[in-house]
Amino acid sequence: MAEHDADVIVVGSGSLGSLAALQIARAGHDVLILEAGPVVPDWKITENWRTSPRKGNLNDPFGDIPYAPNSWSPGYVDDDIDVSMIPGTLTVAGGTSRHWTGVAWRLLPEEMRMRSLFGVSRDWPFDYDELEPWYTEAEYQVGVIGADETDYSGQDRGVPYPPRSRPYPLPPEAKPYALQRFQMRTSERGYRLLHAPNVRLSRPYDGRPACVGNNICNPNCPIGAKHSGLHDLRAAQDAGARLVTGALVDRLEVDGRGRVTAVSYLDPGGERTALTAKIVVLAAHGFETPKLLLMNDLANSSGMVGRNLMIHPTLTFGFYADEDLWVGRGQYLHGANMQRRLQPDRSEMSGGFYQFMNHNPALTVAAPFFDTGEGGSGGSDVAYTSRGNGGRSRRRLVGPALDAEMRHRAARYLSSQTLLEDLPDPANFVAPDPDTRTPLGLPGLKMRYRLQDYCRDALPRTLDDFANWVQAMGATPQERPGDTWSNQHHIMGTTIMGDDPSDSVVDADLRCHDHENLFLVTTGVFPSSSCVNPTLTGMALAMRAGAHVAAEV
Amino acid sequence: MRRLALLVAFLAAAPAVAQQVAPDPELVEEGRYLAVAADCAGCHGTTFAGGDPVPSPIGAIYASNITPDPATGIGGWTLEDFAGVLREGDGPDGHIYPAMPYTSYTGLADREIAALWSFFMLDVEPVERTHPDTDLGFPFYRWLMPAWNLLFLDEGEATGAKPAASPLEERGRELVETLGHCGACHTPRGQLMQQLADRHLGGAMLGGWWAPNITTGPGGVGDWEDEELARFLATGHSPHGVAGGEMGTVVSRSLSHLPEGDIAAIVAYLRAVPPVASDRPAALAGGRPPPVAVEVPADDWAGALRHDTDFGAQLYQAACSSCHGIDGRGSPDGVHPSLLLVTGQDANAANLVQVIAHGIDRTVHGERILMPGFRDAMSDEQIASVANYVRTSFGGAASDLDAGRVSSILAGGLSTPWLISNAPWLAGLGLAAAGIVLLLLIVWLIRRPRRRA
Repeated sequence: MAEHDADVIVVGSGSLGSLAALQIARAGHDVLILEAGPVVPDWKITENWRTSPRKGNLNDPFGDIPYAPNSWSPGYVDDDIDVSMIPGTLTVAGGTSRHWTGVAWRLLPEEMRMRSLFGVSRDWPFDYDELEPWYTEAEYQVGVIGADETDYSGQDRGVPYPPRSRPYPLPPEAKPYALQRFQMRTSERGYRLLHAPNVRLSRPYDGRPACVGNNICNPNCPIGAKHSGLHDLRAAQDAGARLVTGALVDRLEVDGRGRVTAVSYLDPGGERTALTAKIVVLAAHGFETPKLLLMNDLANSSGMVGRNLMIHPTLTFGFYADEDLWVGRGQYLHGANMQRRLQPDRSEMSGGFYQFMNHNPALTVAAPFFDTGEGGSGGSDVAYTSRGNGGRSRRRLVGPALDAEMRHRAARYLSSQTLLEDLPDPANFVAPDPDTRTPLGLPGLKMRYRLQDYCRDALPRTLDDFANWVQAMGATPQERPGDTWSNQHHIMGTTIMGDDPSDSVVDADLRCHDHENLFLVTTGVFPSSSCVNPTLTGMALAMRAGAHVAAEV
Repeated sequence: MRRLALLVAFLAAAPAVAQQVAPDPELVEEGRYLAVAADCAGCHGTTFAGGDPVPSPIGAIYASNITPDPATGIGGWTLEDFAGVLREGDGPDGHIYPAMPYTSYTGLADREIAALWSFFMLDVEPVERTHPDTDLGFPFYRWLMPAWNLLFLDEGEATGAKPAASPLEERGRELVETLGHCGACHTPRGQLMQQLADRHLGGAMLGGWWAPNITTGPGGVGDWEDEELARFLATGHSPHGVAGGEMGTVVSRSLSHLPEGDIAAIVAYLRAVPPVASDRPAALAGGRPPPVAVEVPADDWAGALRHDTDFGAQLYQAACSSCHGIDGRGSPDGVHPSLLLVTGQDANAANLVQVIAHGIDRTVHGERILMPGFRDAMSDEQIASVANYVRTSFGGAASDLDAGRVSSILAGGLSTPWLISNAPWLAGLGLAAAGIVLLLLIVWLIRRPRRRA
């Protein structure tokens, strides 16, 4: 100990960094976590969200921290993208999962062998069986609720899939009324709605209460029923890990053999501190981790650091049904249709799945009224017909009539997203931006992303499904698939994992090919993006890497 | 079948004891029930192999292994040994401390002791487990306990038991005084840790919690409806308060498993015990004002990440109101308790502070009730502010908690009687004095004039 400031330094206190730290601390080693942002308790985030006029901005309640900007801080990211959104990262203790929705999918075994099976993307350097025990470990650590007897390949083969060594720690929540109705009316067209496993508790677990349906899963559960990285950070601290906040790591020192010898950071006042450790884990998510490596010209003999950016291109759509569905009771997101996930045509176009949104739609249905005064196109036909007005009204609504109309529409609105697999392409990248500087003098971030034909080609299929659902629900479309190409806050590929050091950044243990004591614990290591939310897979990788590091200290 | 096999094995292994145990399934069932009503698992753990150390003002006391394991449990005991422990605190291993409530259990009838014996011998799985010896240090030696017993043990009569006017009250007395040993927590203790007879069930501080006055005296449960009291005992839930801390586990493990008739008996008896005025009466006097939700101005956005406010209303609305409501009334179905009656009830606010810090975690009939604690999310000063806010705005009580008070409540402050905390030097002084007297005596003996010489 005397020769090092800690056995292991973990840079980043998010869910993944904290879970790795937890494993290392549990093994009895001295772990120091360096976090750029501050500690902010959940109650403060809830208050900020309530008082913020920018309800759609998930980063807003986490404040504006000049010394530690996040990806939505104005001017921080110089983007050149043809999708609608810079993925939102957070700079706060607990990390970006402070505002995750909490969907906890596993990958399918096939999705880790895309190159072998479908001739696209990349294979993972190990197979699903290797990751399975760590999925289970992660699920029991963070409290995942799920349905055990489900074939999540969407192929309805009658056996649970992907295979599990243990049941989910907690049972699924009840299916909300809106989705019960949707299932009933679309099933004769062959559609099947499955439960989406998630970390919003159905029963108390690990000191967290069960969900009571506040319906504020993003940004932050007001009662802590939803897991966030703050829970993992507390667990790591309880196991003995130490935390330093306001530590903006910008330099890594390396000796002649490529071993990282010191981690150096600035505090918010610009004071510099350098610390030593036997092993260094970078867990600063998929933007800041490659940025830090590129700033120090490390781990990049392959030239792949920051490249292969994948962010799950997304088609969003919604309609007004011909009956009241009352979306908005319970949690933000319950059901999923997985039937487009594992089709034979996955070699030609993205696999994808549909998730059905269950947040209160008032904001969505109100927006057109405030934009045009007329409520736009779409639902008003249904609305006025049912009131005997006949046809579309051009009348501008005010007062009680406006309230009634908004209530009517909110009751009937249903929306869905399909998340699509994108491919690792070195031309999609993030990198430090020397042209912008933060108040501490650190570079900003450049981001480039181009939508791939592989994803675009999934649009016709999505339009077919949408048309089917509109017909089955007697619905009036409000937003159609393809009106905009959106994406998710999922960042993958930027520190890509593989067996070949000339083509990848880390090996199967998340160790840098170029630096034997430097590990990268981030979803940036994903060789392929599958189509499902990456967090649980990231957690499993983090716990697995944490065990490797613990064994090596 | 398993039980039969066990019985056969048992008969073969321990014929000496077996002779004393009638293999009567009814007796075993009765014993099982008595073990629940007496909450043996409370200290000895759900496997009865010995639980966590029981804190006492003198030091940690380890509950023993009471499974029928011959080596580490009570498998080698006789029925007489068992009865001796329950009634006199005197077993094969010598005297025990009254942390094991034998001053209450002493009221058990012969049949009840036989039933408990049958249950532990025939139905509890033997577990081989040793536990640390309890060492309270000088001068609290176990062999001194007969002297304590001479003063405070009324053999055959549960401590504090009052006359009962009806069979229902009599049943209640058995459950409250003998089995439930309610006085162990709810009766304040004197200089020698004995329960104070004149303040029986009148409320006491224990481990940073206020075990409330459960008589009908001022500050007690006189204003609870019978039905409310019964529901509290059976479920841990009532408009006046919810069961947290140790009481939560008592409800989970013991009271929630009692039949309705027994709960009614407990209520009847508690109504009949002499009323005691709390020495910490409820702060609330007179009528209760309607709850007031204080308006909180939105923080300046520049302060979005500052979370050191000591403005109680702001803390309450951010951290608590999602469940308990902006006006403290809880949810309409009562699942999230109203804070109106709860928070003015307890004059020293210890329990409110404990619950804010550590939450509630109670399982009743398989259903787990959980409120998260806020120890990690708020400073002591903030816990004091939010407690003051709910007590004044919703409870109608005056409240002036501060960080120091919160910190001492959460430290668990077991109040130690003067005599106990000073016992080592007092006893040392006593022994020294005795030694000097003895020396003088010897000197006198040697040097006294031999008149008859």
